[in-house]
Amino acid sequence: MSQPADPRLLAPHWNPADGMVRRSRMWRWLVFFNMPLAVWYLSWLLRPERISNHLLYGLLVGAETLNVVQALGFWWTMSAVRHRPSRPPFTEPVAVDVFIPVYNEPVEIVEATIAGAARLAGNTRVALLDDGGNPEMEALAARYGVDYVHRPTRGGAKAANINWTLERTDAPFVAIFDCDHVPDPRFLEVTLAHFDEKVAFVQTPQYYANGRGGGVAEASWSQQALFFGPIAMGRDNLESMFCCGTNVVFRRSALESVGSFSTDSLTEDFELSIRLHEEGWESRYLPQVLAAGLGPEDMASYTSQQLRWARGCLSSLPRIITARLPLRQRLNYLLSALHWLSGWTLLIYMCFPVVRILTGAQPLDVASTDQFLLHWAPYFAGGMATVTLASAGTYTFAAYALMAANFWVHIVASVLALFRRKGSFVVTPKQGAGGRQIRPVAPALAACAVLVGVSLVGLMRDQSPATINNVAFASVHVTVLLAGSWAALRGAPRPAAATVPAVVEGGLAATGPASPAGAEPVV
Amino acid sequence: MVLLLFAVHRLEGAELVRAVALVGVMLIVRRASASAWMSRNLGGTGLHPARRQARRAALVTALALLAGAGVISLGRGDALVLAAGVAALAMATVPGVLAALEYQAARACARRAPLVGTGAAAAGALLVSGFALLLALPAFAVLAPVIALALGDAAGLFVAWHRPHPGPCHALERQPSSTPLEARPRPVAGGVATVALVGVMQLLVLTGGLHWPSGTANLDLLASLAVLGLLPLIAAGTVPALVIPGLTAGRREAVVPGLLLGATLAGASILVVTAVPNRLVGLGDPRLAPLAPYFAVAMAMLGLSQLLIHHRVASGGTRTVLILTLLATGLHLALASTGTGPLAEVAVDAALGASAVLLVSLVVATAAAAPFAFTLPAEGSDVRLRLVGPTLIALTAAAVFVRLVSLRPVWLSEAATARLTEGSFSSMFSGGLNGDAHPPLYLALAWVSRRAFGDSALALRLPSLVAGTLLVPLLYVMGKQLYDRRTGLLAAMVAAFAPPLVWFSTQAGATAVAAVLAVASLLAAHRALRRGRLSDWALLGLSEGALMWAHQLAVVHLVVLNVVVAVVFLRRPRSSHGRLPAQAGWAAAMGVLVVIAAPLLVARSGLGPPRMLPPLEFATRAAPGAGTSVFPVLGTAMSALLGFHPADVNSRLLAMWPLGILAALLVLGRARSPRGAALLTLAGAPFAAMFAAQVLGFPRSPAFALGWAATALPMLALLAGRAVSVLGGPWPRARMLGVGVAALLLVCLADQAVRVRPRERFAVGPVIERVGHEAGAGDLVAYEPAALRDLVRYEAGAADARSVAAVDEERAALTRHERVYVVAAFALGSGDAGVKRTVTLVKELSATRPLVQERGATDGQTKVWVFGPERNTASGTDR
Repeated sequence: MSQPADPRLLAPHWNPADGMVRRSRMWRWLVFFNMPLAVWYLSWLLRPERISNHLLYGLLVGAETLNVVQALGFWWTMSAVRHRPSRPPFTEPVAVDVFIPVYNEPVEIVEATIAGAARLAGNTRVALLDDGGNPEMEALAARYGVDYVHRPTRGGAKAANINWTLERTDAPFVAIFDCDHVPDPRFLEVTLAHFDEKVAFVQTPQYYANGRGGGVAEASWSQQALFFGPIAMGRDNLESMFCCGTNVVFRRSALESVGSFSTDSLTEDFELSIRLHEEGWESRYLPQVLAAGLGPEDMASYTSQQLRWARGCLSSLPRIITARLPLRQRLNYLLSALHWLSGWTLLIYMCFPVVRILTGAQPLDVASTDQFLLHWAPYFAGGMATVTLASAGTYTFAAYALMAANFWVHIVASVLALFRRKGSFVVTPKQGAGGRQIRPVAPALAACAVLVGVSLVGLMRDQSPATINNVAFASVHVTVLLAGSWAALRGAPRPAAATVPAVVEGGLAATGPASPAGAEPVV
Repeated sequence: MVLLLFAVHRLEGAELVRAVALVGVMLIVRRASASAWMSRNLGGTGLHPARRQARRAALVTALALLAGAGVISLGRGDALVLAAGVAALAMATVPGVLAALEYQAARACARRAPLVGTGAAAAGALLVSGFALLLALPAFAVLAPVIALALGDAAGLFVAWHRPHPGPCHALERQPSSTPLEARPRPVAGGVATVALVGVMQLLVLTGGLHWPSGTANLDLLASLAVLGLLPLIAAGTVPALVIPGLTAGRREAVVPGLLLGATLAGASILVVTAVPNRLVGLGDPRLAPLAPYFAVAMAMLGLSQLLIHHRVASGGTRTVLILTLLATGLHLALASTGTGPLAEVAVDAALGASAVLLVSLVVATAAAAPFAFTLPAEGSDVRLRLVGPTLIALTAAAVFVRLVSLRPVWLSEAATARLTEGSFSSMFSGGLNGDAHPPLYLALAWVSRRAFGDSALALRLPSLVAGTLLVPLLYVMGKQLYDRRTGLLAAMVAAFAPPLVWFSTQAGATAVAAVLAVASLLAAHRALRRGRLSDWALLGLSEGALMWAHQLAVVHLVVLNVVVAVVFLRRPRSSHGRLPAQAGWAAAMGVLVVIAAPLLVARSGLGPPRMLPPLEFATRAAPGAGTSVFPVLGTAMSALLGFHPADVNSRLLAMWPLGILAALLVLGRARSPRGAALLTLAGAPFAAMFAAQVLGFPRSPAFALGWAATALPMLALLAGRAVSVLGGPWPRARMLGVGVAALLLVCLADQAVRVRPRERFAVGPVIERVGHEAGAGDLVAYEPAALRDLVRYEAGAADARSVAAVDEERAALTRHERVYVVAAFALGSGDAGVKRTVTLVKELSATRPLVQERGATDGQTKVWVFGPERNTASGTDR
């Protein structure tokens, strides 16, 4: 067939465990060197004689502290990466309920997932949990011989949808897939093998099969790959891996012991993981791609997803602080939540050149910036080297730029969380909308305009090295912000799964999804 | 014409002839460009309907304009003002012709708007020039019509663009062709583009007139700049637009070739403009020489902008072009009106800033219109590479060209080389072993070169010149072997134009030869590791040994290189095939190195004496006492990429260090290549060694000149080529980025060629060179300080050269010579005693001999007194 295949049906282009253990030896050395570099920098920064403007200095120290805490957390997690020995496939006929919650997603996206779930090896009972009440979904379920579940009320979003179905099913294990994640037939055989006595859930990577097409999807995948690579593997060994809501298998008794999913949270999976760990349950992470999904393909989808995650995680902060958890788990949850404050640090860094050019005020009192460079550059270089090595090149500039361009998401989320504003669960769109999307990047563009305008003002006033230095800082921010906004300004690419109907017509149900071991596409 | 005649009647003789000739040139240009434009854009209505004829006419246009600019640049004084006026009118030819054709076509099609526009242009021209005449400002009268024409044309076309005629008018629309893009009617697209651009350009040049109070002298300078600026403008903008027709048709694939051609021609024209006022013409106003290259760069950028405007307008981006042009004009006006300092400098700075902003924004706009993704090019992505051989040959030829036009007067260290290579080979060898900082390989090569080609400065520098040129193809091979052909080509491009490599290729010193040998050793190591042949290992040993004989700090490069080889061995599986023979080969290479280097190390008692480079030999502020300051070594590293610049430029460039953060972010996820890591280490090791030496207070002074990092220079070029290749993505975009990098390097090269004249250093060179031409046998050249010895003896070899101190000791020597030249370069560290000695000598000579001439260099620190024969001697005839 000449039509391009649905990327979810192709062999995955990423293996999180590939070379990880070998690299981990190297980055442990790097971490060993990074720690004194961080101390070297902080010991220079935190001297009283460095203070120039108290407010700006305070902001700088706050931002740098958050960054250093994040860096230390990252290095700590990295150093915990170990190889978890693989186990033979679990072949006993244990019953598993497979849930695929949907809510008005396109049928052609869901069809491949249903087809994949229907072909899962083992004693499974697949249910399509349709909150939208779409007759086409019902027909789809009937076509593949899976259960169609439509609850009478719609409250509580995805969590309530799953809870409602949990009450009406009884298998000892429950697998959950987002509607765009096509599972591998061996998914259950591999994951069930890791259910030791106290294991509540086994999580597998949330792999974006469309992560090679450029634009938002690729940058977003780059961020995911860092998390589901070294970070998740490290957390697994720190007994702190949390559930990510899809590509996961739960022990029903564990779920029931904590009252199933919370319907009050935007990140019900994160909240559920805390409660499970509090109850003494364990979690596992398998660094093996066993389901292929679709990442956000346009900026609006990405922003919506990030805002939901940020609000959910930040809202959980009080819960994390009061949770009855061992220190290492509490710290890991805290680090996960604090990540969503990174936007504040970017905002602070962006303000410095503006304030310096307009008012002359600056945070640090140094005669020459070369002393700052001498202390900061090694720490920065060490951090960058560690990220590069740990991510094996998957974390790219585009990923960072995308995060930076959405700095406002973190700010909005933290403000909303601070004022305990209730948010509604918005499903991440599974298909790109196409066209330019100015609104999601409007704050970034506004920041660019301010930075460029102030830089021009500064250059017209004088072209001293100090002004040029601040203009250079502003240029860095503008470049990063524009690069991150680029996909939105250019317009979203063609949806990755747009060709699914053609594939389906070619006989997807007959051929089944791709095997991760195979290098060739199925169709 | 009336205005021209008004200006001409004030002239006489040769100036009048020249002016008339220039008017003739202008008329030819006008006629040729009219023919070209009509043939290209109006199809059958022109005088030369056939496209081939149109191209021929366009070529004539370009040549005529170039010739005109060349002739004009010979003008002086008042004639220069006239020449500027003529040139400005010639410059206005294109919009003028466009306006006329628009007028005719509009009349034929009954379009009123262009009629109004061109009418307004003519009226404006008359009005402004009439006022100028009334105010008795003839120079302004010459230039005024240009402003008026441009503004009027722009206004007319603006109106025409906003009020298009509803019906078809074939006389105004592009003729349909076979390509779909050209089939779309783009009325007056080329006109809008050219007029908008030329309008901006004229404003850039002439709004310096806002600072009118300083009078006609400043206007003369501005007019001179305008004349010189024509050459790069036409070379970078007009010629490529005419030669590559796809540009004006909006074809994307024509943009990069157009920019490449434009950048190449611009580079050449900038160098010509740089050289003309300095060497050939020597125009009266001393302010012209330092400003001309910058204005040439501004005009070159404007020319390149013109190409992009053509493209953008033809492909439907007229609104973007108009906005960007207006922004650039506004910026220029703001810069020109708010700038402080001499008028001409403000005008040039404003032109430079505005044209840079225009070019950059147009590049961004053009790139933004192209498909774009942050993706890493796949292996084998250079399959579309074509014409690699001719491109490499062209780059090598360009490298030779820029090196030859960048030759400078011989300097102290080179004079020392000349002294050491004067005698026999054995004296050169023994002198070089312990009399120079670097081992004597370069001296040996220079010795051979001088025996073969004579005692000229070129012969003295020939080994460096050859080595520096060889770097171009060698880096291509290296880049191709390590990565791919595109990386090789881009690295070769960087090597051809990188200012530090150009500098050291024209210096009689060890740096360029060491750079070539460093690449050769890396190439040999790579081949040996890949193929494992004994010959490769032997070549590695030989190149490493030769490098040891070439450069004092080559040991840093060799240590890193062999550590890299060792790491490669360690990473190979123990059972891999050929492991043992490879290790044996490496051992053999090390053996060859030891055999070659051991005598040197013994003879020099290690790495050699920590001295010899003369003071101020590009030492940065880094020194054993500099402690942990990182800027000095960063400044040196920056010079390794961008060359030498005045201190204020350097400090501003260094202030841009935050861009390094951006660079680090850009390579995130891409820095996985062990080859890249090895190259980075090889490039960074010499600088790290410098920094370590600085922190430790290692007593090697002045060890911090860029020449000490000779082995890092080609590695940096290779890394730069790789960076462009990776960041550029697909080859057409990488090529475009490469053009940008080449343009940047050429700008730096121009700055280095013109402004880098550490006064205390370079002012002396030409002064002594002139003394060398004048002083003959029987004359005495007394110099102060003593460090000038080699230089004076090299340049004025026929005369008796002695230091002032020596003359002071032997006064009798003064009576034996016909003429006496006293050369003093106080900035070189004479001290009070030296100044006093010189003043005493000059006073004494003044009492006994006539002072024929007293002259000085621009730095005010270098002086020459020429004394004639003694008054009481009969043989004193003035030569």
